[in-house]
This record gives sequence, structure tokens and C-alpha cells, in this order.
Amino acid sequence: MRIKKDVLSGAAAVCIAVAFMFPSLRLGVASLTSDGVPGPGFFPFFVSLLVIGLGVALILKGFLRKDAEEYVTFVFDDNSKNVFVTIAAFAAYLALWRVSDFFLASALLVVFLNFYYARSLKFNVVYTIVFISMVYLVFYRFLRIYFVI
Amino acid sequence: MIWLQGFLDLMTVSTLFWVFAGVFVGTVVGALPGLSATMAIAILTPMTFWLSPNDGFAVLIALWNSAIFAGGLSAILVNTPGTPASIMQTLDGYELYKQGKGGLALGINVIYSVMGGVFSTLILIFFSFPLARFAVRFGPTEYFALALFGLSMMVVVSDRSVVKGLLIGCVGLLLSTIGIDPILAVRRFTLNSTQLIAGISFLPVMIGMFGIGEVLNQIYERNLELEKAEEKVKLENLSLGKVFPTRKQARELFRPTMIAAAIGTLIGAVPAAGGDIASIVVWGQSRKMSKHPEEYGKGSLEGLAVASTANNSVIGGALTTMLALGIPGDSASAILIGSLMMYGMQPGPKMFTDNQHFVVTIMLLMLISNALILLFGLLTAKLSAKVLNVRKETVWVSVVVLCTVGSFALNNSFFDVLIMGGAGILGFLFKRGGFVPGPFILALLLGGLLESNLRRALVMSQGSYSIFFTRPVTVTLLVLTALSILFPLIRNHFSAAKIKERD
Repeated sequence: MRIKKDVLSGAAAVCIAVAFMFPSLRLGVASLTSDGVPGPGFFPFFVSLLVIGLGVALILKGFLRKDAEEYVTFVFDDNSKNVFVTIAAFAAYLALWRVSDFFLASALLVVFLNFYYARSLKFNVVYTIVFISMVYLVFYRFLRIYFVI
Repeated sequence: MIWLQGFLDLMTVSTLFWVFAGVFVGTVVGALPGLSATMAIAILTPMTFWLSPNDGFAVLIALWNSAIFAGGLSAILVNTPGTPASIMQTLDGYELYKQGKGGLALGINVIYSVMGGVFSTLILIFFSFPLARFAVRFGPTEYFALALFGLSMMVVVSDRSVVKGLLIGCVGLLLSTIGIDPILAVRRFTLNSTQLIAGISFLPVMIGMFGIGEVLNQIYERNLELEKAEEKVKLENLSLGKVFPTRKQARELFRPTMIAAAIGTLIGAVPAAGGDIASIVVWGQSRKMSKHPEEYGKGSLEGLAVASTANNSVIGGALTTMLALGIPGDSASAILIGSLMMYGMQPGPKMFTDNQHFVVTIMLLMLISNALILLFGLLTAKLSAKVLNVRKETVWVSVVVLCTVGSFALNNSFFDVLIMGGAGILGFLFKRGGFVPGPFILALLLGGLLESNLRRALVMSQGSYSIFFTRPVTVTLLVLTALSILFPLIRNHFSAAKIKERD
């Protein structure tokens, strides 16, 4: 099934708005006191309504448009593969940082990404040593950021 | 006296070193296509919190000015704008380079970028104080209307669909409500997480969207054939020739560039309108007014000079709005607002009474940065081509690690790193879906201001909305907001009707 970009975006926005709207009602939209101060749910409730309205408008606009470019297309080409690999490497980097050391995790990420993007071994080694050393000197030594979670 | 004291405070080895560091980093960042001034400011801002406010702002102001100027380097040498603001410099700059006048083009870029920066700083100095004095009288209704106007302008200049701009802005507003309620101090949407009590931190979101999001987008849109063509251009290595314009040329360029500086500053002062819009508007306007419009786009010195002047003059205009009213002129000044808040200062009229000394410091830093850019830019004009040899992959890897470092350095918080990573992926998805991140970011920043002033105003009026229609400044701003949202809709409607008629 082919879905239009605007329809998907509009539906996602409506879902987010609904997730905020019901808790807003529980927080209280109307004034809780006699001085007219609107409740904590007042602002998010009205913004949720706006988002729903605009989301529906976008969905309708998506349905009315006829150009083929507006469809969500997914081609698993080299570029999309590179995006996925970069995101996965970043996630692995953060996980590794949690269980080990920041500089070790950073060095491994830099080595991996340089290797993945086909940089030469010599460049990879030199760049990793220079870049990580600079991060260590500037941030750890000079600015005293210890990267402890 | 305050000016002399401010100047003497800045004349320290430490501050001058950080100004130079900002100019150097900004030149490298600006010259590299794909690295924007906003991205660099977002990444470096958390690191400046470890410095004194003077030194921290020395880096940021110098970086901002030099990155915009350096965007013209790659525009001239490889026909690719280094930053969006330098898009119009490709038209005449690259043509001049092909004609063997690359040195002159680089010289014009330095001199007139600095001229634009200095002109707009003078406007900042002369106009921000009266503007702040006028804004002192603003109450909650004016601030609410002002924040709303800022948001609406961001939607208008987002250049895509108004509905999409509004939608993404409202989603940003929704997310800004996470945390403690500003009036009644009740927890909202925190999912019982202590880390969400303070809300979604604005700076990690900025770093993620403009750093990781941009890197992912560049990877996705990579075109190897285009890169090969750019490499070929780099290898051409044409002779650059002389750098300085002649006296006659300088005399001829004076009038159009002064007009360009004035228009650029004005555009910069409009919330959300940035250097790209200024250079496009100014270039088009100058061509209409020029004695030699036929030369524009074919290597016109005037065309290059006005574009160079316009994009740098935006900075002073944006700072005027930011400092005097507390409303960001563009994404870069939005980050500076966050930075000032981290230093315990609130941009807006109160800053001119409570932190007047620092306001003066920022203005003086603008002048010092521009002086250093002139010196550095002219001395290194012919060396600047070397910067362009850095490969994209090197930039991507560096940006990923620096975004992580920057977001962690804000509060020593791993949670901020996770927010940054999430915002990066979201920023990428926004771009793929045809949304620009500007309205989202601005709404996240202005959401608190908007809500607290709306509710304060309702407290004052005991719940009556008529308070928004009884104060002249509020009414004017609300009318401008309505017009700014309706204008593109009406324009689109009429242009669609015209196309239909023609068909």
C-alpha cells in the first residue's frame, strides 16, 4: 500500500496531539480558582486542538494532491543503507559509553565510521589518534569535562 | 564611560585569543559546504559555558560573523555556497574566479562582509537602546503577542507549506509544555521521570537537529557524481590575481553596498528572516537599481559586493531584536538566547537595565570580531582554498562526536545526549517529510514565554480575553501576526488561480 507523505505526517501529528490532549483534560483546562487563572492543562489542550486541526488539514491536502512525488518511497539504496549504519553505529557508541569509557567508545566509533566510509588505513589511524587526543586534551584536561555517566 | 570600561575589559589576552579562535573556527566551518554557522554555534555553545561570559561570547560572536563571511569562500572558489546565506555569492563570485579575478572576488567578500557587519553593529548600538526603553513598558499581553508574531514569521519564511510550518510549530509548542507548569508549578507530561521535570532542554535539541540531523540528511542526499564534478573544479586551481579593489571600484561600490547593508540589517531585525533571504532580496533589488544590471550573474563586482554586505549585515539586525525584545532574529540568535539564559541573563528590555554592561560587551565584540575578520580574511584570502579539500566523511565523523561532547557538556547529563540523538533523527525525518526545523525549534524556545504571558494576562483580566484587544501594541502585533499567516495563503491562492487561467 502506498501512503502519501502529507497523510503520514498529518496522522503522526494527530497521534501526538491526542497523547497530550487527554492528560491536559485531567490536569484541568478551566480555572481551578476564582481569580480566573486557567488550569495547567489549558495551554496544552488548546495547542493539541490546533495540532489536530492542522494535522487533519494536512491529511486532506495529501489526499487531494495528485503528484507521484508526494508518496512515501523507500528505496534501500547505498545512501539509505549508509544512514541506517550511521544511526546504528551511533546507538552502539552510546551503549558502549554506558558500559565502558567515553574515549574508548569514541575511538571505536571513529575507527568504524572511517573504515565504513572507505578511508585508507593510514588516514584512519592518524585521524583517530589526532582527533581523540584533541578531544581528550581540550575537553577532559582543559575544560575538565569528565564524561562520567 | 561604560563603553571605555567594556572595551578595556575585552582587551585581555584571554578574550582576544577566544575572538581569534572563533574567527578561525568560523572561517573553516563557513567555508566547508554543509557545515552551517548555526550548526557550529549549536555545537560550540555548551563548551563556552566553561569559559567566562566575556570569553564565551567572544567565541560565539566571532564564529557567527566569520562563518557567514567564509560561506562566500566556497561560493567563489567551487561554486557551492558554504552556508545558505552565501547562495547569491555563487552567481558572481564563481564567474569572477573563472575570469581569473578570484583574488579580487575573495578580497571583495572580506571587505564588504566586514562593512555589512560593522554597519549593522552601528545600527544595533544606536537603535537597540531606544527600542529596549520602548519595550520596558511591555506587559504580558505585549510579550504574548510578540512571541506569537515571532513564531508566525518563522512559519512565513519557512518557504514551504504554511500548514506544515504551522503544524510543526504547534508540535514544538506542545513539547514545550513538558515539565513544570509556569504558573501553578504542577508537573505536566513528565511520565514520572525526574529528568523531564525541567522540561525538554532546548540546546540539545538544537545540537541534534542542526548537527546529527544535517549529517544524516547529507548522507542520504549524497550524490557521488556531483562530488566528482566539484573535485574537478577544485583541481582547476586557477590563478587568483590581486585581492584589493581599485579606488575607482571602491567608490562605485560605496552607494549600492550601503543600501545593501541597510536593507540587510532591516531584514535581520525581522524575526526569523536570515542571511539567505537578505542576500536574495538585496541582490535582486540592487540589480534593478544598478547602472549595469546586465553584468549581474556574469561576474559583477557590484553583485558580489552587495550579496557579501547583505548576509553579514543581518547579524546586527538579528541581535537588535534579540537583545532589545528577547525574540530571536534567526536560529543562531535563538541559540544565543539559550546561552545568555545559561549565564543567568534574560534577553529583552530588562537586560538593558540589569546587564547593561554585557549588552555593551556584545556590541564591542561585534566590532572587534569584524576587525579581526578583515585582517585574517585579507591575509589568508589566497590560502583559503586549502580548507575546501577536507572530505565530507571527515566532517561527518567529527560532527557526530562533537555533537555528543557538546550535548553532554551542557549539564554533564547522558539524558541530554539521548535527547540530542533523538532530535537528530527527528530533524532528519522532518527534512525528508518536507518540514523545516526552524518553527519547531523556535516554538520550543518561545513556548514558555508564550504560555506564561498568556496566562498572566488572563490573571490580570480575571479570565477575560478582551485584555488582548485594548492595548495598541498588542493589537498591532496580533494584526501583523494574522497578516503574516494569511498573506502567503492568499498569495498562493492567487498565483494558483493565475496559473489555471494561463493554462
